[in-house]
Amino acid sequence: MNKTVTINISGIIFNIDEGAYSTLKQYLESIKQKFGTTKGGEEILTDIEARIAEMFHEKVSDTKQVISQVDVNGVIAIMGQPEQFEDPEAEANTSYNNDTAHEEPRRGPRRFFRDPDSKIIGGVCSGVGHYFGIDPVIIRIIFVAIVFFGGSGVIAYLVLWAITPEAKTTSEKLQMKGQRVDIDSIRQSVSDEAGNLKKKFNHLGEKADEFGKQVDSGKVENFFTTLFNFILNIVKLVLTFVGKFFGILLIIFGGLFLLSLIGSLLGLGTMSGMINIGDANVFSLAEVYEFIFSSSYHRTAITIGLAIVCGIPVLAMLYGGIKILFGVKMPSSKIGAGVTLLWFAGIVLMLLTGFQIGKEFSKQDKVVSQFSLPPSTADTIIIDVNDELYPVDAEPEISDDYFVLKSYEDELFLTTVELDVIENQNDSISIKIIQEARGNSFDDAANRAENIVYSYSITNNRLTFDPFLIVKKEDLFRNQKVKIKVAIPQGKTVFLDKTSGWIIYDIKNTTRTRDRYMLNNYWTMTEDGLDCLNKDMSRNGIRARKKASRERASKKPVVPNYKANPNSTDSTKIDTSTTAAYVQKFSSVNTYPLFPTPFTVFG
Amino acid sequence: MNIENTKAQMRKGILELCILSILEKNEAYPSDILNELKDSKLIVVEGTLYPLLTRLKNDGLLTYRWEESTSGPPRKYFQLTELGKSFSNELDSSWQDLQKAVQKIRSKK
Repeated sequence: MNKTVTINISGIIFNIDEGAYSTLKQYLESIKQKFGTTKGGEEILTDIEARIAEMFHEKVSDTKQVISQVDVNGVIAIMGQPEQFEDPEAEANTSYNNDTAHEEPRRGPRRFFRDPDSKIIGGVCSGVGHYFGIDPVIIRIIFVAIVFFGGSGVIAYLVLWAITPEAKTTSEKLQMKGQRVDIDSIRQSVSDEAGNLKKKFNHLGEKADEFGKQVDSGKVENFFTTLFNFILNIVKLVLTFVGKFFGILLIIFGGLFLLSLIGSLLGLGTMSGMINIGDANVFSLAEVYEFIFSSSYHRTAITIGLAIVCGIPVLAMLYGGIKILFGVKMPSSKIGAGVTLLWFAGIVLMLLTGFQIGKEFSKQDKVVSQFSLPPSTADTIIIDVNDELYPVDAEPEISDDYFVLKSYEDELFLTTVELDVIENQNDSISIKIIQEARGNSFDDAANRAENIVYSYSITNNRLTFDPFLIVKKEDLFRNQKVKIKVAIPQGKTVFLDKTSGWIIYDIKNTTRTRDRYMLNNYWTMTEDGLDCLNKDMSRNGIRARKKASRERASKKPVVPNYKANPNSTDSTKIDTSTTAAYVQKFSSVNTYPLFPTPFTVFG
Repeated sequence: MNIENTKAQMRKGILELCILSILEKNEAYPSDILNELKDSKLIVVEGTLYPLLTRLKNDGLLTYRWEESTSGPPRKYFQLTELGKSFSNELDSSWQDLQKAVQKIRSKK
């Protein structure tokens, strides 16, 4: 007993055995493949089908109603396999080619497939090789080589493996090795497209003439359809170019982001790609971890969360780029949904962990120490910053940011030091040092505040503060701060040394002078607040002095000394005399002046 | 050198001439043409004919009309166009030349 299938060939119905049906289908498919691309291919197929129907018709009768495998084999034997078809024209072409050089026949554009026939793992390398016409061995060597660059080769391979379809059918295998995608073929397709457009344009011209002659509603519609198609074609052409370019960009940036992300997560040194945007500070995520996470659980959770939340869009970028360039398709839409779900799971994980870490910052406490200077102190005190004490390696990066983070031998250096000068109701000069920190309880916070290492020194009337505070690694970063309040009674004066620019923060004064302009000046506490008695520090006063100094500078004769040495440029010139002096001064005690002038000071 | 290949190429060269010659006598539908070609062992598989007919038709050498059939789908009856006729004549004279050329060479042996 056999199952039969009902088929319709050239409008005639036949019952055919299931096995015979699949043989016939395959046969017609192979003919379609051969003639599908040639001119009139459709017609050839229809004619052949008609002939097959005719032959089938002769085979069936009232007693034999079903087409069997034998019948189909017989018909195929009569018709012959497509490669047996003897087409004089085709022969002429190939013999011509044989005379010159063996050229690859044009088989339509090449597509990117994995090659199952010559695979080592997933056939990705051989697929890439086919696509670019390079020996797969070379591709394999390249892939193995980039495995050593942060393992990105493995990831690239896995991504390609996942998103590239395997060449299963013969036609896919042909497409895989199809017409080379090179400059020539691109130029060819562009010129074809341009030719099309030109034809369309000419056509449009004719249409326009017709349009002028007879304004018929049907014709008008036709004209606009053509116009619309014409514009559509131009847009399509432009989009194709933009798309390909965009695809390349996506792949380049996706690859860069992926490398940065992996590097940061694994703590492979300083990954400037991720964090160092603009003038921000450079440190690796791994370094931040050390000072933020109290438990390895948080660390792991955040690492995984970051990998998912940042990694998926990056991989999506890579996938998008590859899709645009090579035209590969996602194996299943379920994967897309799964990946989206995973991304949200990553967000949730980050939020939950972030919330837990946030709790460790929830309470703030402070430790206050206060003392007064002896009454014998001079009427004027000097505030400056100690810039000699710290070893060269611990150089914290200088920035206008809220704080600067830098670790050195299990210690964290923070520049969250704020100094303010206020009025004291008593007759003495008093100094208040407030150490602040956060924690998950007040005790915890107070403990951390206590543990902050901060030093200063007082010699006669000079108050020297450190520009940063130090946090021990085991205390973690919990927003530690040091606030210094220097309280002076009316009539006393404070001189803000220019190095104090590192720590002074929003000091109130009568002229509303900003911090940077307060440096290098004497400020006396008056009834109304701090006032600069010997200079006009109001906005207009500062402006007038700036103008005057500019005028002085412009009156100076300019000496064109750079002509003597054409190799030197003005921008790279360094005042070596002062630098040398500094180095000499501090090299004896093995210390180094860490801080260049914090602000430009206008005297 | 494959003898079968050479034979096939020789056949292919004159196939167009033969088809045009058959149609010169009468209009015919593919099965008629096939029978004649098969009788003279000029064609091995029937599939060869269809692409050829389509191409000749597209080149304007042939034209066809539909005719209902009692045994199967409607048939395409092909006939020569004016262009086809002159093409056929030209091929015919070149065939005569070839034949003479071959004979001349052989008789010199």
